[in-house]
Amino acid sequence: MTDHGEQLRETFETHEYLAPDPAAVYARVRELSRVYKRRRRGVQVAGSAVLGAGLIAGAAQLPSVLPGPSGGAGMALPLGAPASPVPSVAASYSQADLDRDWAAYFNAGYGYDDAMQLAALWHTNQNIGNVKAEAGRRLLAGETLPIAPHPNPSPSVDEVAAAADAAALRAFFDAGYVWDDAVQLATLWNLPDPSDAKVAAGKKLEEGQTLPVQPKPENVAAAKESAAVDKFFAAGYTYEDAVELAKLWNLKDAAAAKIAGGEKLLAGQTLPIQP
Amino acid sequence: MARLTSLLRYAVVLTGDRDLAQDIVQEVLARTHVRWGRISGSESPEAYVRRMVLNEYLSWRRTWAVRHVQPVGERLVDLDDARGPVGDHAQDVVDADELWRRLATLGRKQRAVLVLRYYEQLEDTAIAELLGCSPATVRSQASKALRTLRLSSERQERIHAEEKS
Repeated sequence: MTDHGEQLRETFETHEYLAPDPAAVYARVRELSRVYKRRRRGVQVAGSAVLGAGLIAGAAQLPSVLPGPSGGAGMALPLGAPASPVPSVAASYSQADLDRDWAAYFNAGYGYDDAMQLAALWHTNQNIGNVKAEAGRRLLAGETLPIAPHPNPSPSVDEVAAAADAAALRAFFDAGYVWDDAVQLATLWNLPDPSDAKVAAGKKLEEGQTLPVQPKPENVAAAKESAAVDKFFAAGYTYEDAVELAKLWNLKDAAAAKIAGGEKLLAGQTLPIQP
Repeated sequence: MARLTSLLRYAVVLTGDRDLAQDIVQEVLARTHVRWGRISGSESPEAYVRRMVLNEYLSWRRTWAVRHVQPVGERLVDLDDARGPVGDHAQDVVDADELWRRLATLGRKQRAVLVLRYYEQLEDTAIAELLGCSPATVRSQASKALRTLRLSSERQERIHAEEKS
């Protein structure tokens, strides 16, 4: 690899730590996809009759930063709203504008599913992030959105359940199980969805039970490495610490040091340098 | 979970932004979850999902053509020059942070090319297939991206020189 290539690779790797928590993301994805399926079904069946006159009125004034319907695979609703005008302020949008509008959107209590509905109402197949920003812009302009906020579908009870699911999922994946194992388990347990099998299996693992399917050794190894790296970063260590540890331990690179360091931390040991 | 961890790291490297990475991955996975039966039957489901993340990133806010315009103030990226003859550890970290900031000034496609080439370590032909363009275009994009990182420095030095003169 060229010098530039090496610098870029290092730069990318040193910023991997910015990645969000996988267990939380996964739990959220499961929740979203359920609601997504449910609401999409409901919306498609009900159409404009359920959405009501207020929604159609709201859709009449189309977003100024979103393009009109493109006929693509968006979330089109059977609404009779007029076509969107050409975006007027699109080019002037900056990252600061986006951040401000997104904040307004979420602070008003709206969530992902609301954005899906708005996208349908506005006949746009734009990315949901754009829709959220447009909605936020309107809120800041003092407008009322055509739907009431449905803060992401998690009243407190759901959040508790989601947290429990996340913990179970972590147990499942940390043990080295993968999707293919979940498919097998779902078949064995007569569960319709392998995702449900993951959660059920994770809960069993948390209770100290063994599963009727064993993970592949290479997946176990990969899971252990991943857990070690997560532990390394969770303890406050950084890439530069890993570089230093690699030198101390004569390891080939920082990646190996992250794994070795994480494994020691998981074993309750301390490292020769502090984070 | 290891796969998801890897996907999230890929997304954060690709986007350069933690929140955006999360938003994109959540959105992609929520969609894949709905039709996982079909995706899981593909030759490489993991590659399929990574490709979805890439496409999502490239289309994200495309119409707004948002660019992170960064002030030209400090010495810009010619990291080879910034380094001493022997690799200095602290300087490496500073360089990495600096380069990370500079990468935010690139267009999405250029950034994606660099990520695919140097992080994913893909060949240009594979990158071209992912991006739906020719290998020559990939090379051109990569070259422009690298040049942008360097030219910024030259431009700044020119500005400096002009101000001093």
